[in-house]
Amino acid sequence: MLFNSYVFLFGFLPLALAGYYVMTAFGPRVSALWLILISFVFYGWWNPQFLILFAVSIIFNYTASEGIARLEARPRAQTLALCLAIAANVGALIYYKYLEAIIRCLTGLGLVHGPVVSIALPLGISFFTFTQIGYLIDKKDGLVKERGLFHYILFVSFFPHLIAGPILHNREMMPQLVQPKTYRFSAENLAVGFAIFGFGLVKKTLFADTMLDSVRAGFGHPGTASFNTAWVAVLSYALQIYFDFSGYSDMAIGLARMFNIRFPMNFNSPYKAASVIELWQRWHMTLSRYLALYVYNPLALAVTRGRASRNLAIGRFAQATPGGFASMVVLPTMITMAIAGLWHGAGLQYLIFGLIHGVYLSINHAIRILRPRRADGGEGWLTHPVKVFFTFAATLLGLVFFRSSSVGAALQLLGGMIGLHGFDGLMLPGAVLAHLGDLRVSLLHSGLVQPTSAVGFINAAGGLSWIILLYVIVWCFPNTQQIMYRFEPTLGRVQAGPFAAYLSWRPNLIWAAAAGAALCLGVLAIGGTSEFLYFQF
Amino acid sequence: MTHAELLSKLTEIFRDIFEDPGLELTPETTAEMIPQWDSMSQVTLAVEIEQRFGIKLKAAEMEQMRSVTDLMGLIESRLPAPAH
Amino acid sequence: MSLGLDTLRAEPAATPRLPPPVERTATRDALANPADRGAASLSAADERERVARRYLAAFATAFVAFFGLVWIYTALMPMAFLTRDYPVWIAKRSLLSSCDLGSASFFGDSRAMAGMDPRALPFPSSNFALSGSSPIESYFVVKRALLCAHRPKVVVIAYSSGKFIEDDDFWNISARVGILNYADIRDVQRKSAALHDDEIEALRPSDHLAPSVRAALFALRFPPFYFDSLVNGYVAGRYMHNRAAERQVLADRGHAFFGTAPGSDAVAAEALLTFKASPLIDAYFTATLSALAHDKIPVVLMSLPINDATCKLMNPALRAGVARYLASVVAAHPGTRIAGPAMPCWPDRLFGDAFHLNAAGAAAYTRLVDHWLQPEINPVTGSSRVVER
Repeated sequence: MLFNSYVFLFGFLPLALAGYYVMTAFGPRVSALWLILISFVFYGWWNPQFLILFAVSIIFNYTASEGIARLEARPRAQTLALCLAIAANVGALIYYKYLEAIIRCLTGLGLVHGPVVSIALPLGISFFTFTQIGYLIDKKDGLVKERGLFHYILFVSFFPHLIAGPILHNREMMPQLVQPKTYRFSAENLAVGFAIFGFGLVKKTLFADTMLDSVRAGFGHPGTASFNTAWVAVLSYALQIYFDFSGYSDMAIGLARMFNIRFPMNFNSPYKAASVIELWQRWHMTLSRYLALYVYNPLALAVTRGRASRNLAIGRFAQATPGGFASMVVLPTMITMAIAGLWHGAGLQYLIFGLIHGVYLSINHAIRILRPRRADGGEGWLTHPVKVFFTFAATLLGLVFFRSSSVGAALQLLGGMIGLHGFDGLMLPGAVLAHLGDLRVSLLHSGLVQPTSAVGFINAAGGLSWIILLYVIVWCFPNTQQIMYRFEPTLGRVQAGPFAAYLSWRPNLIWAAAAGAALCLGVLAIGGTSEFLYFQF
Repeated sequence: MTHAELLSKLTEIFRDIFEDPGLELTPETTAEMIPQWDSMSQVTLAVEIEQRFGIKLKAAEMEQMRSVTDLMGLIESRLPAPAH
Repeated sequence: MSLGLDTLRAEPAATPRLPPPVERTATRDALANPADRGAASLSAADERERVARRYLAAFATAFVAFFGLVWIYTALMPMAFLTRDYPVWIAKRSLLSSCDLGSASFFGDSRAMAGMDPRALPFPSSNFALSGSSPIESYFVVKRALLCAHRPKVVVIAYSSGKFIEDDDFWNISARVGILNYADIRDVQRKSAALHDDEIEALRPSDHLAPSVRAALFALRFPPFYFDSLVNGYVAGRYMHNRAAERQVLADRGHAFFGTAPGSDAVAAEALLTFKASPLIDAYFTATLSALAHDKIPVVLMSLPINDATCKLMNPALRAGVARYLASVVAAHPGTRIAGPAMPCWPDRLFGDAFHLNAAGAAAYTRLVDHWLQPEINPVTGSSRVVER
């Protein structure tokens, strides 16, 4: 089931909430059981057969975690058990998510001849696999307080985070799940939750989904995409993925809040970042946190400790040397980002996306290591907007690979973006052209301008204006957390954003009307905004 | 080791790692306040602390080390109890 | 007021922090409920709840009011925002309800709507062809026509090959514009189930709605289904244009052009098709013929032309398949005959766009229609031979 669907909004959610508030009268245990029940219904709605995989995964991992805990006295056996459990999880993930692509790749290379394999991908498998692996690792490190199978099941299966995260950590969730005060009716939490959810829904249906046509026009035909088409497609995709992910994170956070549970922040206006390092502190924050915790830190620590024990220098001076830089910075960064890229999808272009960002981060770290310290603490010629611009440009390059159907297609589209497939003239309505006299002839001949109908011009101008408006929202307006900052929308501190005086949510009548209108608009836009016109084929 | 000793030793480490001889640390200092304090320097910090204090830190605890109070608490919990 | 460019400088929140490990600080469990801070007194918490409840009531009211207003608008004012298919249908529906069937009634898809011009015929006729329709739609329209006391002398049915293969505009046009009402759609859904032919449901998998629910929502003009038209029609921007279209189609007795270019070499869908009659569409087609036979109304099956550009790319097996299918249908239904060749290739200059004839093309085709219908219109002088062009 998806959050932006009629079944969810008009059927599942009202029933889930109503049932929850009724069950709270029977105590925390019954309410938690209700949450587990509806989460399983949510998960199994489209493909009931995946419920089996889901249940097996949960039972297996819980049993493994118990086994790991019991082996505390024998560290080597414990590590072995942990590795086996992780291997089982990763193996399942590879089977469902990557095996098809791997076989296709091998077949393409001529190494394997066999039938075409098609494996259905269970919903959210990346998320619940990663969440449970994290739990296992923490269990081995002795960082997990035992709460029992019941709460473990709830932790993994709680439906708001099931399909698109945030990736939750047991340390921030378990205390909330075992706390009896979570299981009650709180009008304030319901109000806050619905406001956040409504904003997220609008971002998904009204902002992200309206970009689909321009994106497809460019990425679907990269070999022939003109300069205009290619750039519009890439800029549209940057908006689409931004609002898609931001919207989904908001919806997850809002839904959890309706059940009195606070999620961590997952998305914090990433295009406002002034460096790629900062970008990853703002984009898919829980994934960055996860990879830092379980991949980057262990790797970097191991390398750095290794150097220290061999009496090699590890400070900034050492990092400025090629050997030091390569081992302490580049190696852990590239491995981590390769995983980050591949996590998003099975394909070479995802790996390239990850590696590109690995290179960016390495360069970013190098600049920080080598940059002379300014006595006045100023920024020099690279003012803030310039840094944001460069960071955004770097992001766009990565996104071309991320969205393209293959590496070749990405390169073709990049070619279009530098003008290798030609330029389209600017559209002008025929009525305006008629008034230009002689100038009209030369403009048309040079290809700078192409005539179009009045309707065509209005549509094109409208499309461009919409994109510009969305970028204004991205760069100049507060994000959902900042709008809600007075009510602690996420775990951790949130500050007020721009226009805080006007755009800070409060439970008053004006915001009730605004949130109601936003939710209404979001629901309406589920039907889509691109019209099917019979006339036009 | 007293609080003050711990703080001064930490300040020494910070000044070395961030190459800022004039850096001042107070218990209120957090990672956001020092621009150079990112994930990379976090690792260097951790290893440097391990070396100089003779303690061992866990990878998972590095996530906790985002403020001076956190660091001090972490180090104190790892040090052998002071003799009375 | 700054443009908010200072927003670019917003502090990044640190990557979400975890609470410290439990064994060190067992009491620092994260609480989800700000109201539980120790300092808040009970009455302050109650006050917040009270304010929140009032907010919730206002919020729910606002949502219902806004949504309701939009729903009332989509239900009552379709002429203001729907595409041209709607006024065209309204015009034809009024011809039907006034039982203005003429001596010849034409049924078919948009090719037939553009190619058969009642004004160019010496006898009264009405064009009930509909965009994007298949024999499924014409079944229901014919049933409505048969409720009239007045009977036409002949019924013409002319569908493109693709419309025997699948009815891919079933939801986009027929259900959306209201050509098929709730009962009609339910009938189609039941027949699909009986025939184990789920092609209609397969057209709209993404809304995950139960078939009866979707049928009801279309019948009620559920607003999200129409949001795209509201946006593209600028809420009410299509009203004047639609009213003019309705008047024009009524005056032209159901005829309407699509493309009006002086010629078109664009390629139509036939270039890609292979013929395979859909069981569901065949069921409705034969039911239509049976109903007409039952009321003793002769039926003539015709085929609108394809432009040369498409013919060059089209697989000849497609035409052969259509001809075979129609021949088999005619054999099974006495009182039905075929007039004219199947899918003839006509010059590009007679087409206003890839699919539809322009004025010159429609004039030429209508002359042929006049000739082909002589046996039924003037039975004394005409012959009953199948007339080949």
